[in-house]
Amino acid sequence: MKKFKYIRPNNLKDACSILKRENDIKILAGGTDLLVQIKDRMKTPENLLDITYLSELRVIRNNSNYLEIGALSTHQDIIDSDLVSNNAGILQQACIQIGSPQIRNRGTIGGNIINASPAADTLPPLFTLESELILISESGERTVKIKDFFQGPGRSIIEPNEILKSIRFKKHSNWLGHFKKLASRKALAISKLSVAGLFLVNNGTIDQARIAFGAVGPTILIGKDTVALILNKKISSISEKEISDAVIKDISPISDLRSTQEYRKAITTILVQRILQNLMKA
Amino acid sequence: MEHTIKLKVNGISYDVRVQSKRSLLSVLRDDLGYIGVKEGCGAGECGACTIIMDGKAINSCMVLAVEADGSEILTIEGLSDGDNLHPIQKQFIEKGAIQCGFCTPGMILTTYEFLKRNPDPTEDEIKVAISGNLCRCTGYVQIIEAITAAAKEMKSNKEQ
Repeated sequence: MKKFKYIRPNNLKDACSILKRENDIKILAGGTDLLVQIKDRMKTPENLLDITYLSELRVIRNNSNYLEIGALSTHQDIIDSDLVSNNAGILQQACIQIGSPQIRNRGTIGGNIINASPAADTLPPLFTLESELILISESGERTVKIKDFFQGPGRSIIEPNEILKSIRFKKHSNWLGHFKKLASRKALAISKLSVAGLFLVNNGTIDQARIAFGAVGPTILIGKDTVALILNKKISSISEKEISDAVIKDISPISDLRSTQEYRKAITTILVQRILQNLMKA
Repeated sequence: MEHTIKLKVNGISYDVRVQSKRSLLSVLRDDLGYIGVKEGCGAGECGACTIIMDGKAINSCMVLAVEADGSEILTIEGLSDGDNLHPIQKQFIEKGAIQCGFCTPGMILTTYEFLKRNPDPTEDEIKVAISGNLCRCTGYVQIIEAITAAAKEMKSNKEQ
């Protein structure tokens, strides 16, 4: 491992001013990805700013219509939160499938977002929740919609002097959410593909729907065609062929070390079908 | 760059000088002699380096020693009460859940944290709980039996 300077700020304000002052600096927020990348010399920062312990960013808050999750909440914090289970169960479904208990104790939702992997499991649920990201720097805060945040694998619009402070979304207590992923094994495997679907269903008819796909494009993809197909329809009236055609229009998978394009297309379709079948049972 | 950090390991306080790039795993093993902490994959996938830090099971290969400054750590060396083995240790021996032994410290510490949260687990819950710990002798059946028996023993100890 290459040498670096380790800096631990006392509070968020400190962290912002250090970030403005220092060049070639990476933020450590749990470290379950970053430390492996540094070890493998995929990343070689001069400075490491460890914000893992900033407790002010580890709060899950009820804000009238919104839920606000501090960026340094661990996956386990989110799994244990009644506020999240009552208002955004789909996010819990994803967190519970991340890594292993040890990773979930250490890895943070903010780290998962900023790492910007198209296969990050918290992202499809956060897209269906129409989340907003609150970014902070020494000069103030700004709010960005999650759908406008990512630019490609590992890339987002966050500035070098900014820290992700929190994630905010409207409460979705009456919505039915399903997150499904496929990986080589159940634990400790990066998703080959994932699907999140969030729905308002009334007597078997889909009144509202949001669908997002992971690991089948350079960033998370929104299921526009799939949503258009199923909206205001009886679930039982939608054919498998129609679903398959719509899903394949929505996604653009590649073949890589984890899976092939063909397999990803086939299985993404099947996961969407299964989610719709689950909705019929509800 | 060097830092002086304070660690409390199995109840003993240490001041250690460490380089910022060193992992908590290497400091525990090489500087402090807690060789029950094992390095397997070094990337958070095998769980052999699992320790309890401030009450949570974590992979010590993925935490910098400087990050652990001020924390309380439990390793396998600190689990027994003197010569009296912890019920989890006892049941691992009893049920034949130890073959080569390399995964055992991590497996037992993961179980220790898990049974604190869930004293009466189902078999499925146990499988999820140890999903971050690989055993390549593949003695999982015996490990699950040991955890089930340890949970029972700990519960009845409590009730007495």
